[in-house]
Amino acid sequence: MTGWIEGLLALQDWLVILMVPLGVLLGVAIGAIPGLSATVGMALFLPFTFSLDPLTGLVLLLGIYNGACYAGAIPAVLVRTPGTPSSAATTLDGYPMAQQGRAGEALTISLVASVAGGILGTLLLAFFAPLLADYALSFGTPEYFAIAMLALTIIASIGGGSIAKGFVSAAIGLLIAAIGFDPIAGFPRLSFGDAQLSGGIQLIPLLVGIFGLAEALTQIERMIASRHERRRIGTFSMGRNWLRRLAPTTAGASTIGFATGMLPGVGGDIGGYMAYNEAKRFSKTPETFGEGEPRGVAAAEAANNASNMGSLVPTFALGIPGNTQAAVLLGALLIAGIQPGPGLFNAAPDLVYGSFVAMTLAYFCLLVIGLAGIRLWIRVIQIPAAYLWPLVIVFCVIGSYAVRTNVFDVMVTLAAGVLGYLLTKGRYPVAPLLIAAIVGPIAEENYRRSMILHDGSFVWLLQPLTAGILLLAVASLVFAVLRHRKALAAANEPPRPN
Amino acid sequence: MTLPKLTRRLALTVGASVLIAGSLTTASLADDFPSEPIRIVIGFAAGGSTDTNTRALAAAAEETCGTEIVISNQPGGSGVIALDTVRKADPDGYTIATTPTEISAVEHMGLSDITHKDFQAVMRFIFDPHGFFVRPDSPYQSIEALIAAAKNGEQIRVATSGPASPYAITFEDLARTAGVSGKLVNIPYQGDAMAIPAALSGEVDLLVSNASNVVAQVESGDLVPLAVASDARIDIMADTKTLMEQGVEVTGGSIFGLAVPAGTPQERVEKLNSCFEAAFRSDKFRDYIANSGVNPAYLGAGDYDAYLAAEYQRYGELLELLGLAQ
Repeated sequence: MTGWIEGLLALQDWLVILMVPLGVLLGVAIGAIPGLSATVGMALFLPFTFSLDPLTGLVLLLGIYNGACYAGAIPAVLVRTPGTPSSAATTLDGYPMAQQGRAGEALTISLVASVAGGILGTLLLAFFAPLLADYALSFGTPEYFAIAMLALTIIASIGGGSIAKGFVSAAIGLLIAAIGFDPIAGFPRLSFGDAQLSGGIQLIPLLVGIFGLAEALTQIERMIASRHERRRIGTFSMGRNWLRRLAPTTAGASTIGFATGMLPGVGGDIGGYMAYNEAKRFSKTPETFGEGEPRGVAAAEAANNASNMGSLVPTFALGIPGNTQAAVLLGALLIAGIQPGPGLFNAAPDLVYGSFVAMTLAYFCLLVIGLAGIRLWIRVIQIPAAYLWPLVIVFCVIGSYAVRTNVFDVMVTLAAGVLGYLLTKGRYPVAPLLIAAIVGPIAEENYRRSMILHDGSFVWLLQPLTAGILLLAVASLVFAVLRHRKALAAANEPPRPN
Repeated sequence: MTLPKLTRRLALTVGASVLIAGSLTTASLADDFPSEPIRIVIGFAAGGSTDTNTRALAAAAEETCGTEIVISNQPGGSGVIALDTVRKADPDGYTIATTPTEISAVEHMGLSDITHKDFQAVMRFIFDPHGFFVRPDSPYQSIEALIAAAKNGEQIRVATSGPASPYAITFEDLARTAGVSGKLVNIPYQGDAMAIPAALSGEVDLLVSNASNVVAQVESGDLVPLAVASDARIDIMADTKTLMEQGVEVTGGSIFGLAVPAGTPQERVEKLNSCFEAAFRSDKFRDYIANSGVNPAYLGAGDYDAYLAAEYQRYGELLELLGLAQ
């Protein structure tokens, strides 16, 4: 309890309080631009924090971190381009909603779900971090493999019309992920002797191309074929009974997001997809998912913000970064003269609890900024299509270049854009490709490492936690296939007379 | 930070800036360099040890070099992508690479044709020795016990941050020198952030990492250091013996230095060397060294060039012996 008091006292500085809205605003601006992720934004403002007090700098960076995580949903909903990887799952239902003239509703839901997920995550982090960090340590290499397999089964249920097409798309994703250094043996694969290829395909250029650029190409083609009608914004209200409809999904998704976020190397992108998948599985009307289901948006956005907080569990409690953004936070602390590590809660309670309080404030700030801002940035979809989609292409190119200021990444985006366009034309879903590209390497690496750790024996598959998660994965797969068959049968049957 | 400390720091900064501003006006008469922003290209992601060390130095160097310094992260391929960018850049002193330890290894391993010969060294500022760490309940509480167990035929699983990481080369060197090659098995993880938890949870028997990476875990008693692979003991783990003290003639560490493309005019290299040395010796960077636990180890342009050439030679022989050379 004394920690909280010290944290509150530390926040009495006006400069710290000023950093809360400033960080959130910067984060929203950065997250809303496709390609500019929270990591890039935080690294950009890192030098600025060197001249600040540790807590002040930390609050600014945390504001960017959380603001960007929410704002990724804005372009995901409006132009089907996730602003950050975490919002990839938001496109699944957010964009269809926008196309149906419900962009206002989708943006409001994504904001409220983000804030709810973020605050729930902050509470879990603040009260259970040391306890949970120890629990996260019990997730070893075999468990990581099992989690990755569970995440891969999402492909079967997320593919839309055809499971087979989903698997084709996923196979392309796995192939793309195989490019670059072999994670265990260390030799380049599929590089054709090229230094850039041996460095691997970066996630963000792939993501921006396969979603944003591909959608721009599709829309431009449609625009040439027929006159494009102006899209409607619709209401900003979340509809009747919104609390009852969305609260259970949001709470469940937050828990899933937080739990996956705690594992170093598993980020909000995977968390978002996993939560989305569970929301669909537990829904009475799974067929509405992918067609503009508000709960899909709420699940994805609550999960990625909660996952952000989950990633801070090992960061604060152990000094081990839960993701790349958390690594930037730890770097900032080091340069500010704070040694992060298991003793941080006791050594610097003002800093730790101060940042928890500041993060809670930041989420309320985000709610206010977001509610005011939605009416502004929603105008994006009122831009005539002849200007909007070429602009999206420009932003995709700039964004992918900004990741590493590397022209190779731009070429990846362009190639991914064409690939995404062709897949969409052939009615192949692109989400499985992305999931496979993110999760595939985790599965491969941890499978091979498990085998080395156990001297070539499969005995690790029988460890209780590993086996449990793998069984869940099998059940998930079977369930998805059965449901799909039932849906097919229902579609083929002539409608029964009442 | 207390108020008096803040004012003192402020006074120091102001004082230093005045001094520097004074010295700059005289210097600028001789040559305008650097009159534009300098770009440092880092081959690893933001937040990693290379990034943090370099940013801390760059923050001090903005004052001592009198120009803006822009950090650009181009992660990928063990730092090769960033090195490739810099070696193709104009050799005018405005584009600087961080020189990872891997610069001495990638060519031998057939991963790239990049070597130190593509660059002109500016300076080395940190040599972080590799340390060997176990859990407190580990059966191997000393390097001697570890080697004895390996000689008895036990397989010892070693967590490193990657298959061809400098950590892996150091422990393979240890195994070879101690005559237990093949008994220490490399378990590669994606970076220290994954390897350290594996050591904490007991998934592996031994962790090799920069000593500064686990200073907090050693302090809290979660990890026990068995040895550091430096010539002499290091400040942050003064009680920990070196490998040499324990009868194993092996050293190894992570090198943090700066270099410009080969062909950069000599006077510009010297200018960069002197202003980055001033940054290295500044109070600001001294504070960083004390807080982060990294091991300062300065080498000037000429010495660092010679050092990189020697390292290239040493890694070549080592990788050949270990069967990792192409």
